[in-house]
Amino acid sequence: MSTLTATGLRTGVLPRWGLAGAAAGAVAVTVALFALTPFQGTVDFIVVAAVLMVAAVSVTSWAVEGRRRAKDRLATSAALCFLALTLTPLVFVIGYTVKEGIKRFNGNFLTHSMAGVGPISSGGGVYHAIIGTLEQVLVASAIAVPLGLLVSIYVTEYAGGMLATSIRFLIDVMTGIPSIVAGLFVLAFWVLALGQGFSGFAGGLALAILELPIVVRSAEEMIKLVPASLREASYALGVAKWKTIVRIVLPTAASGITTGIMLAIARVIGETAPVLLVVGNNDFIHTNPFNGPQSSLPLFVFEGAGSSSAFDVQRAWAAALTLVLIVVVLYVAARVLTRRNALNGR
Amino acid sequence: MKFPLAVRAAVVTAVGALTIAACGSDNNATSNTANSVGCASGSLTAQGSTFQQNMEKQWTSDFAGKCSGAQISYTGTGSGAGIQQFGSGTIDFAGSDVTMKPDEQAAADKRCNGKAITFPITAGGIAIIYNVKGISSLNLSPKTLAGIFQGTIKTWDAAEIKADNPGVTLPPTAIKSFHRADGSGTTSVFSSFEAALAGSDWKLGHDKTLNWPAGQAAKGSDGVTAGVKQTDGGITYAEVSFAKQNSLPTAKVKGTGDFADLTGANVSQAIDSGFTVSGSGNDVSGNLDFTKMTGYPISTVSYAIVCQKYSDAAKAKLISKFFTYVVTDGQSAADQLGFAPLPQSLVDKAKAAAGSVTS
Amino acid sequence: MSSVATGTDASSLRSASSKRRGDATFKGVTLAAGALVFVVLGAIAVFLVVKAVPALQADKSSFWTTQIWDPDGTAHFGIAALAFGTLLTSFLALAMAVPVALGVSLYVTQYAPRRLATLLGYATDMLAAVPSVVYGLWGVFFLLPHMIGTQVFLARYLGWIPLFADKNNQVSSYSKSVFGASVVLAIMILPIIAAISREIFRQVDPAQREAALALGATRWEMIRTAVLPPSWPGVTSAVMLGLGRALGETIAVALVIGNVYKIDWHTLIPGGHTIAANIANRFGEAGATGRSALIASGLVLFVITLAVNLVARYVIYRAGAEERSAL
Repeated sequence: MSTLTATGLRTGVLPRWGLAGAAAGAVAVTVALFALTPFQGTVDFIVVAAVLMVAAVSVTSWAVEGRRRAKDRLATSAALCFLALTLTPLVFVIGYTVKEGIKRFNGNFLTHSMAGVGPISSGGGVYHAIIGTLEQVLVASAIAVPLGLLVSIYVTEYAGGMLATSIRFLIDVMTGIPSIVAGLFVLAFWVLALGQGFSGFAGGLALAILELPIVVRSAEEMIKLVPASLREASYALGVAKWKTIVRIVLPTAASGITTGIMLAIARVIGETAPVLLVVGNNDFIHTNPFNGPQSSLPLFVFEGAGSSSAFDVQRAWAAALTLVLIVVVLYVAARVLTRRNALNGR
Repeated sequence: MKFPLAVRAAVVTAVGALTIAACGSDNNATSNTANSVGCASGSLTAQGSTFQQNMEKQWTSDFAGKCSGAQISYTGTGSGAGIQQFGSGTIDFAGSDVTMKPDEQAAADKRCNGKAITFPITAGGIAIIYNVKGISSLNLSPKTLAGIFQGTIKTWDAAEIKADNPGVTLPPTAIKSFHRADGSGTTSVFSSFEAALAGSDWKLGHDKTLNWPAGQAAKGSDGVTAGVKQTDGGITYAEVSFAKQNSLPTAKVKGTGDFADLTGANVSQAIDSGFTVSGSGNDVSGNLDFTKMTGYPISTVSYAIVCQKYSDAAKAKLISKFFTYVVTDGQSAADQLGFAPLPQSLVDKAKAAAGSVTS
Repeated sequence: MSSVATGTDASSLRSASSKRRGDATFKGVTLAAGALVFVVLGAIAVFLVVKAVPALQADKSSFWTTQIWDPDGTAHFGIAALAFGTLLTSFLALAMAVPVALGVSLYVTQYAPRRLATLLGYATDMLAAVPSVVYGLWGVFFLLPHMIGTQVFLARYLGWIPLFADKNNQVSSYSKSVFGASVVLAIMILPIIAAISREIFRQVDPAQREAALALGATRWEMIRTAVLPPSWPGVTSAVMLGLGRALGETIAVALVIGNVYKIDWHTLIPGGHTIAANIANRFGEAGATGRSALIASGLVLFVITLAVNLVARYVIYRAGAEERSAL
């Protein structure tokens, strides 16, 4: 009898109310614990209750269902706990950003710069920073996207040679460049050695160093996904290789490549470190990216985060909300594009 | 067509971006102080001392309010960064609490293709800002400050602090000192004060950057003040307007005289007694002698560093007009922000220096 | 007939040569792009190395063992404290993030119903979308104040572990510490590890899973025997990619760490510094030697992250899993 129980063929099964009962019991114990001992705080309560619930469920299961099932229930509870642990920071990060950012997030904030506004005044906005970010990302993409596409085409369509392999390796190396080192390079080389000074273009250069490998790798993946049969059919019809690539392979991979570019832009738009070093700072709207310091949205948030002025901090939160909104929109758009792509049979 | 969605999206984005580009404005607050100096237009970018940054923000805002077309942007990055960036030619002028060292002066002269001049534009006191539950007023002597910032005094109820504050009950909270992570003129002045008055108790020397054996670091006067604001038991040194902005108490400090509070009058008295000009001609740099200072003992002037000549005529004119405004009409804004107006002798010299900037 | 034949031959000959020219031009253009990247990267590497050397020569003490950082003043500087802080924060972050990431990706792939799984996938990716500066801002104003309770708990009950010891009761108030930075880093690298692990677990042969279940295994036993063993290489590389990200993170850490140049194992007290945060703090005021020293430290960081990334990619390549190009 006991052997059969041990192999689980004839064990009891925890009834539906068993789980709930164990959980409720754990909560009750926690309440008692908190009432009678110096333990306090909501977070502590939740943590202790969770631990006790998992323990209660596992122990009850062990008693009724046997060791194997108990381990299974423990694993399930643990997985659920880890899920909660993952969702908690998400809720708190995004939630708190929205909660704090919405206080100053309005049309005025988005259309005015920080000209003449100091830490003791409540006015001002991030318009100059938005323009700066848009221009810097535009410069970065203007460099990284065409170059990246060409490189990814070379690496996939003309692969096999030593150059192609070494370029793939170099792109891997590039993905590992810490963003601050990219900024340091542009500072030492472009801003100082070449004497070009702070500018939005310098920021764009640093961002391009970060954006290029992302574009290359995602474009590479998408081009590889194009079925060989499509290419072969094209060759069989006598079409030149370059025409095949331009007219057949690229359009087929277009959606995926666009998604990859959008994700690269989303990654790069939030980068502070490279921009911090080379773009200087400017409270005024400065639309010429090639000459003169600009501001940038992540830079604006960074400066505000270190400020002791409550107004600065408020503005920083609103700017953070703006930044998060832009990035989320890009991500969601990329997802939508991917799904449409998938629906079309890719 | 193979790209309809992508093309449509791109067009929408471009149109959106162009719309955004058309609808921003630099027009924020207006100002009230007079401007008898006259106007110039152009744009300048500057970096430097966070000590003077609140004054700079006020001045640039007031000046722009009176002179549309004058776009001057000052960012507080620390005196060290200001001097470095000025020497590298990436900014138009620098703000600094300390005068340049010989190698820094050489780099600045090279950048200016001539001479770089330094003149004071404001004066103020370095407040000892603290945030301790249970302490509302505090006296601190130089040796006690040395112990606190070097980490030898670890709690607020230590004997040395008790000795400075007889009869006051002090909580046993741990001391959390904040010092500057970046190269700071404020650090330089504060450490010079300690070196002069705490004797052998102060072992760190005096410079814009020190090797602090204890405490945490933060960037800018803003950063250290923010740190103290959030930390029970925190203490730091920063220009007094940061304490005022955040309603944080400041300690009375003892120099060669008695424990003194940080008021405008005390600072003016200290500058009068402790600051002497050592430069000549348009270079109005000077020295602080803390052993001679009466009034509030950690007082200092803060300087502007500009070129004697700029190749860009518009820039030269704007700098000249702006700084003439700053040392004359602009001084009236000092009081409300917690700074002290410059003594008249310094105003005259600084005005001459500002007026001498040409192209 | 023959004229038609000649015409056909002639036109196909013409198009053959123009085809070849077109092909050659196109290949040349893409090759030029590739070569350009090659050359530019090489130039970057050479430039940085050349710029870093003066600092190493000017350093009056050992670059590898000195803790203080004063290149422009006394010329005593070294990355000992910085490298220590970088590695400590990154590994602590890894220790916190890996179990959670694996747990969540196992849940999403093995337990969750299909629709919920997709939703949860989006949610985890949303964590990855948040820019690092926003994490820094959130860390300073939300996490650190709310973490004081946890710090006190750790110091009181786990204080016998040197990592959590607190000699002067400093943790009962706001602390910019290695621990705080590690928690923020953990939240930042969690989505990366989770996303890749998710893909890895999805790749497991369904036949193996069903076979385990058919033999009467519980779900956990199935995971333990059929899902995890083939996934270890992929999971390892996911972990290493997360590590690489943590090592290079600048802004969030600079805002949340104590900026203290000292090697200290006590993670709860105010303190800690990393190579990247040091560059962000000191680049403005750095003179020629200072910049050179920062570049040297940046190169050290780059070499470390490069090694970690290459190992990760090699392991992924070997495992043959499809990795997310978005990352």
